[in-house]
Amino acid sequence: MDLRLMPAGQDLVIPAALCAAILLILPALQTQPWWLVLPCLICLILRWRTLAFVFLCAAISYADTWATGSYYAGLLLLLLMRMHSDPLAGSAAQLASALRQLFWSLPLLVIIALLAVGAGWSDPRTPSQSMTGVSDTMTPGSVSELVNDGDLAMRVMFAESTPVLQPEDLYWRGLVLENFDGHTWSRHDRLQFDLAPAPALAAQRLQYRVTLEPRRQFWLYGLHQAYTSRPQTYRDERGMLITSDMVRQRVRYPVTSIEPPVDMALDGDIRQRNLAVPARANPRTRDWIGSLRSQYVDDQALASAILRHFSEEAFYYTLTPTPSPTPSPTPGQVDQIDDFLFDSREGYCEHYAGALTFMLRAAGIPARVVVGYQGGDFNPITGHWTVYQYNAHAWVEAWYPGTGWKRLDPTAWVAPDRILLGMDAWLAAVADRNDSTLDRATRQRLWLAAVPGYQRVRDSLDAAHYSWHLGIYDSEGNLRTEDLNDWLTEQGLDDLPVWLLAALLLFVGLRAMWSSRTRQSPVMQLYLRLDGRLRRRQLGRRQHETILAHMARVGSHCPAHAAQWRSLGEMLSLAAYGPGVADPSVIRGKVRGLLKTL
Amino acid sequence: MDTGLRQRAAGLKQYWHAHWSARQARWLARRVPPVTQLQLSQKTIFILPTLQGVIVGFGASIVMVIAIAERNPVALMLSALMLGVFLLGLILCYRNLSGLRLAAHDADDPLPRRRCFVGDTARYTVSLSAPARSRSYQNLWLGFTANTLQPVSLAPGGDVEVNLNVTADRRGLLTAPRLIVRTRYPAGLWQAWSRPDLLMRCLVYPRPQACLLPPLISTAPAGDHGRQRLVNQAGMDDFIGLRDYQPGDSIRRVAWQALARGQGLKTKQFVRDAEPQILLTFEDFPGRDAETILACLCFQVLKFNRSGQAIGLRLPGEGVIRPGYGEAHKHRLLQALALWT
Repeated sequence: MDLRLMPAGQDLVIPAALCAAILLILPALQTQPWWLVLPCLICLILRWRTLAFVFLCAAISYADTWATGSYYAGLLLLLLMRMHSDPLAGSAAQLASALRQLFWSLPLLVIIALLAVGAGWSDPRTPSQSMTGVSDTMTPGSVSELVNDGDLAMRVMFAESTPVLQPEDLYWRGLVLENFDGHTWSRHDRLQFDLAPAPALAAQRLQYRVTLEPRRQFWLYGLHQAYTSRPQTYRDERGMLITSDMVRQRVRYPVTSIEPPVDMALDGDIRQRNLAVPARANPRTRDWIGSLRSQYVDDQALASAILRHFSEEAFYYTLTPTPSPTPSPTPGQVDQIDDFLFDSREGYCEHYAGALTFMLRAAGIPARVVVGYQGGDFNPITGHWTVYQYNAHAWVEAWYPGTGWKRLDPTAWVAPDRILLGMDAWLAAVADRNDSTLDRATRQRLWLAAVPGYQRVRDSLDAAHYSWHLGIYDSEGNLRTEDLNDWLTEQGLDDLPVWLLAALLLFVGLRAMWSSRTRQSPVMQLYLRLDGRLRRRQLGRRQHETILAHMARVGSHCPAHAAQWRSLGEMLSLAAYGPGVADPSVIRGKVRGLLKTL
Repeated sequence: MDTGLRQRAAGLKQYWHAHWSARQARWLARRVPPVTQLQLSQKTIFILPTLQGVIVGFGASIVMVIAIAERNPVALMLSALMLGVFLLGLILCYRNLSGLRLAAHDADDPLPRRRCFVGDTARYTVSLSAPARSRSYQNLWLGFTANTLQPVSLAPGGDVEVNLNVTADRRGLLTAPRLIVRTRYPAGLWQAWSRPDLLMRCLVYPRPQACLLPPLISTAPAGDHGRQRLVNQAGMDDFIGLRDYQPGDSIRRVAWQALARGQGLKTKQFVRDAEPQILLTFEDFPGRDAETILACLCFQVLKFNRSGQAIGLRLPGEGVIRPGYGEAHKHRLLQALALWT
């Protein structure tokens, strides 16, 4: 038997891995992916270093606190011990080497971290518009700059029994903006959750599934009053779907939409919030509304008079409105809506929506801005709707007594082509007029759309993409593997996978610990233990030294017992390599006696 | 199933392999010229990541990109730590070879002292030493081929001699192939290696082949051709010297005087004058090719030397080696056989 085949001493990684598994119970580590950490530990015990590294890499991106970070650093230490270039080195040597490597890589870590910090990657103040899509504030220009963004926003598949829908029916509500400071429309931050399920008897139910692309946002989109059964998603009274986990990955959720309820009393707070306008701003608009109000007493008549004003007077719907003459650093001082209504008369949907809401509020009608998407492309192959970022839109909702909230879209009056024919048709017309704001990719897309057959190719590709996602996710928007999870939950066995993995870990760990002890004969174990004790006194076995020579050398260091050491060596080598079966107890007694003399 | 094509492909592969290794050898000869003593340095150390190292470096970079995209500072630090360990491995691995001193064991002799027969293992000794008192070298692997590497470790300032074996497959002066010194210290992410040529040589004697001298000639009197017996006419046993006593020597031959002088147990050696002195030549084995004749001659040299007979040798194209006795004479004869061309 070659002594080098066995690592010297006990393997420390195995108990450490078992302890690391137990540590997962700690509250600070409970959010960590046990389905990655436990396999990583199993691989560590089994010495599958590369696989353990892959699992560790996958788990590290879940680290969110410094406590979990130090836990993963500990796992990295275990991995480095396992990766030691001499697999037969003792655990102490492996640990020392691993610690040394971690220590000396700290300067490199600092350099790399400084580079990352210098790159400003962590600055959350500069999220690019293309990353956020529709944002939770609306300023002039915030929607129109999405026109050049040809990225996918979402795909929607309606249930089979749905009546035929037209693009003008599809107003994908995202956020409701109620606060206005004279320049920016923003959300009212207090959410009032409506936890009631969708009314069962509502007429005109629409059922569909939305596959939303990730835009690092906390809200989802739906038509009219939307209800979803997606977990961790709540419905606000204003009809927003708010989720508590940021949309980082493509999500798929079922929605049931109903028309807004008719008899809806308006709460005092909400009424006040939806009537608030900045004091002293836009005096010309206020005057004009005052005179209009004297003509129309009825709220709805007043609203349609304003909309008619948009369509009859010379208002232009354009992506590049003439910039306001003096952009003031302090918002609220500039009479932005006065400028728009009486001077420039050019704007995109956000200008019209903002102005209309302001005018309605000035006339005493509760009104609010809604941002989201409008329309979409119908794909005849799979029968779903595809909504792109350039479909971003803003419109108005006004509350009439006895009717409730009603949607008013000034864009439909100013530029009916955009709503009726779709965004692409309107953009094509714009591109003919002035193509200065459309970027190259958009113009290319419009040019291609005119090529016969291109639309079909685009539809096919889109359908293929969508079918692929349908294949991955089940009807509830979960990954297909979660079918099994659901089944397990039904059976009351939610924790079965973690228990199975833990049992496997325990089995592998105990087996490895046991076998490292018992693979040697008792006499050889005795000798290895003795060797460990002697090593502390710098008398350990040298490479290529036989047991006999080793014992003789030890004897030469303590001449008083030299003969006894030699005879112990003979006994050991005879017991280890000789034909008979030796009684270890005799040798053990001798070893103990000799160790005392050292 | 076109076997011809397969054969041709195999031939092409072999050709490329030979071509490539020849190119590599030429390049190495320029880069690491053969010397008897070498201290490893930048010029002679090569380093590349192992497969595991590639996976670790790549994986750590991927995790770092994800951490940056997710704006997760903890994951960024951890991935930076992994990347740092990977990059540090490069330095530690290189340091584990650089400065190591390698020397051939007996490089200064004009003819190597190492001797062996064809088919035996030629043994070379390399001594490694760590020059700096503070620097140790761990987990080095040393050998001639990738499959026969031996583990070596060096304490700070220590030195170690390593015996390396190669099967001797032809007679003559056998030059050892280039050494491989390799290390994957500390975590197996990088492999640093060097290919020093320490000019180690070994003299390989022909493999002895059992054969009989032609009986006719062995009894025949001396002649101009064939084996000659140089007969000493004195008719007495000549004392030629003392040698160490070996078990089995006749007790009458023991040199008691020498023992009395305290020189230990010695045996007197005599040459029986009647016993002929033998001159071996190529012509003793007609009808065989030169290598076989050399093998037979080797066998005869060993046989006669063991039985204590004086033997000489005459090889074609070279001078006559006068008959003689003893170990040194045997090696002289065998060396002549090994180096004959």
